[in-house]
Amino acid sequence: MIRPVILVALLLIWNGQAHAETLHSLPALGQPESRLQIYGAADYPAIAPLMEQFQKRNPRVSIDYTEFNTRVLYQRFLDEQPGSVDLVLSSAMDLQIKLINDGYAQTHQSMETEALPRWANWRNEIFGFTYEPAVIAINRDFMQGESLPRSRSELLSLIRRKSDQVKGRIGTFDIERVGVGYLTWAHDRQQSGSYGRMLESFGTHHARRFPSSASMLEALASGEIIIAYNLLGSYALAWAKQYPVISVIMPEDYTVLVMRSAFIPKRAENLQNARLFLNYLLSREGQQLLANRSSLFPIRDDVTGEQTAHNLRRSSQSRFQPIPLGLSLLVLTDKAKRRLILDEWDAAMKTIE
Amino acid sequence: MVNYPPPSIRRQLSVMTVCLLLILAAMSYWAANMYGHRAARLSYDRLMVGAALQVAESISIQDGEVIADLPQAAFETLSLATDDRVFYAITTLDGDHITGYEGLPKFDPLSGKITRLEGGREFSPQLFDSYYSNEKVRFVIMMRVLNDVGITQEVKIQIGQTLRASNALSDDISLRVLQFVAFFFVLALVLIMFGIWMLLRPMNQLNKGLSERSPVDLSPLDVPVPLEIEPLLNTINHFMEQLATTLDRLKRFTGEAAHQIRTPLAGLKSQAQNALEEQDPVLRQQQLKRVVECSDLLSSTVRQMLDQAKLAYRFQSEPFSPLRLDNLVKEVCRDVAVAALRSDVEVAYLSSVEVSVDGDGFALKQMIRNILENAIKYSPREGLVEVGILVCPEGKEGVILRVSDSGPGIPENERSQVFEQFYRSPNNQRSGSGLGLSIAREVAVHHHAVLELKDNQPHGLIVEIHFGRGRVK
Repeated sequence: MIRPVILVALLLIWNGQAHAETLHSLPALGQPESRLQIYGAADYPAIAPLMEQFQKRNPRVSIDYTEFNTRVLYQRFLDEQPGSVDLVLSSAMDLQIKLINDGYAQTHQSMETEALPRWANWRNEIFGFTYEPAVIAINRDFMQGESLPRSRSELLSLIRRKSDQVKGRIGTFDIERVGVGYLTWAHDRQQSGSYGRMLESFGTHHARRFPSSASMLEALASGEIIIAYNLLGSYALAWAKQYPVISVIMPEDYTVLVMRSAFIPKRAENLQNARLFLNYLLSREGQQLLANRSSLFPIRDDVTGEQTAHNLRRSSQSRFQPIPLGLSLLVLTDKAKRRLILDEWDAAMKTIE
Repeated sequence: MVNYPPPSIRRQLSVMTVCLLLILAAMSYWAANMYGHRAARLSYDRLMVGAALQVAESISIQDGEVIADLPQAAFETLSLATDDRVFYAITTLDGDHITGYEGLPKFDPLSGKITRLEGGREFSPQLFDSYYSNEKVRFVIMMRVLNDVGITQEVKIQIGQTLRASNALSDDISLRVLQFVAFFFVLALVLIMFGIWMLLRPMNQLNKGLSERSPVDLSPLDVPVPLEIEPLLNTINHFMEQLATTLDRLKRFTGEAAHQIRTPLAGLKSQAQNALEEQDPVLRQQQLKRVVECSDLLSSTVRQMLDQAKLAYRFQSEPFSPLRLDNLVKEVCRDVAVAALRSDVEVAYLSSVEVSVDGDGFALKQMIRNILENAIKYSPREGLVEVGILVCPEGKEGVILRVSDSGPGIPENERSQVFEQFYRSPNNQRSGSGLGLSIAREVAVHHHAVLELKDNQPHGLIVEIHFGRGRVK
């Protein structure tokens, strides 16, 4: 489940993960065969049960699921034009929106897309299919019975109090390479009054940058780091079940919700299969499957279970801030904007050296 | 030939109204559409200019470098057009790309026109339509001058947005206007149809009033009608009044005629009975002579009544033709001369002028004969009836036919009555039908001539008929 590469030295991890690309082929169960090519930024194990169930219903479809880092996926998709895969799944909402805005998607309308909430559908071209809260995870051993921080300012004061212990043991996404990391960080920059202090604090405490939630959790579980900031909630909760030492915190000042989204490229070769799969992904059955079998939060309100967006929002209404799937995300893809954010980040992180 | 139904006022009014309403509806829909399109366009133009202003404000020079920190708020403003795509670019005036999309279209004066919005004068936004990414896009271009120590840099901000929301709003406005127009079209149609019904109601009432009355009821209609229909009602009432007079006259005439025929018949019968019983041959001879006289009178009355009926018919059917009046007069003179001589009356035709009139020969002869016979009848023994045709003196048109006798004449006070049918002067001892002068005057009137009675000297009557249109040959 966890690639051994992660355990190698940091630089190697960056390089290795940034270009990682894994192809998972699910051969068709029946004949004649038709293909469905998917580029995805969701971990294969999370999406696999859904694909297997889909194949049971559509035995003639063979699926090639290629997994990328979000930015690599974005670049690969553009590089391959005018050729194209049949479906693109990604959690980097800003990059997805950029592709839609630039006219790479085609419209898709069905009963399933109609059932989506308004903010999980843009132009009937891109559809959110899961929710992800960006959470803080803490190694409980480190807390030694102290109460957990409930907000960003409490987290900051904890870091301040235990400055020596946490130095070099705070983990967060490498926002230059991880799309969802950049997205949540940019959102923090926009929303939070504590962003400046957070950046400074991370800088002075030599925060470590990780290429994925999984690698961050791995380090957290092993005690390599004690605080993980802005990692994806679905992974964190799954790991917390397995490793009781990990505590997951959804900050009460606000918790960002990011969406995984899917779109069918304009030049999709196997359009029928892409539509079928997208409908299945958004259907009650597919969503229920995501809720039950995978560690993802389904988006539909009519799906029951612990891991649903509905439940998430019901448990505490106000703190969750979904990033709506829409035009305003375009600003995050702006070249100049991105450089500004990364420069700020780099300037803060340079204090390590 | 196609047999068209008679034109219906209701249908004509309805067709005209519907046409007019359709034209009005089409025009107002078109105008509202234009307005809706403009309004929608303007709304989204303002949003775009607002976003461009926000973007412009976020550009600054730091350490001699142009820095654009695009505000999220600008994109949230643009995303008010929920489903529209946005393209933007920030470049220096020299064309150096700072950020955003590359290769955005410039304004092409051939494909459209530039709109300048009021406000934001400092940045003078320019708006135009163009195509980008396979779609029609509305663009705004805005300039901003940046100043820093020793540097002045002018940057161009271009933002484009697809037109989905704008078109949807425009369509929405159009739809609402269409509903509105349709509603008023129907409302106006109903009102106008009701109006037409109201307008035509008096006509129907008039018709009903006429059709419901008994055929002998010729009293004036008393139906309330609008001003425009009043003349028609007046004409109908006038016509009925005339009809009533005519009917009245006919009744009186029938009565008179019956009376006129019955009296001589009764006389005839008693004379004949007397003659049957008379032994004395001389007396019987006298009585038989009276029978003959009575028969003559009766026959002349009947003839004149027939003549009158014939004339009435000819008046309607016979067209006028040019006639020689002098010849007609001479002809009649010859006809009556023998009978006149039998009564010892001389008829003299004195003129030699040749005169032509337009008229009906039969009728004119009838008139001349009646006047002449009348003159002969009332002339004393060895009397003279002078007939002549005079040409009117200078300043007066036409010719005058004059018949003068030396009979008793007609007193002034009876002259207006002698032309009435069956009028008999109370002093008149002579037998007669009382139709002769009446017929003469009818003919004269029919020929647009004026019949006048004058006194002759020392006694007698002059009848003058002035043909205004007669002319000397």
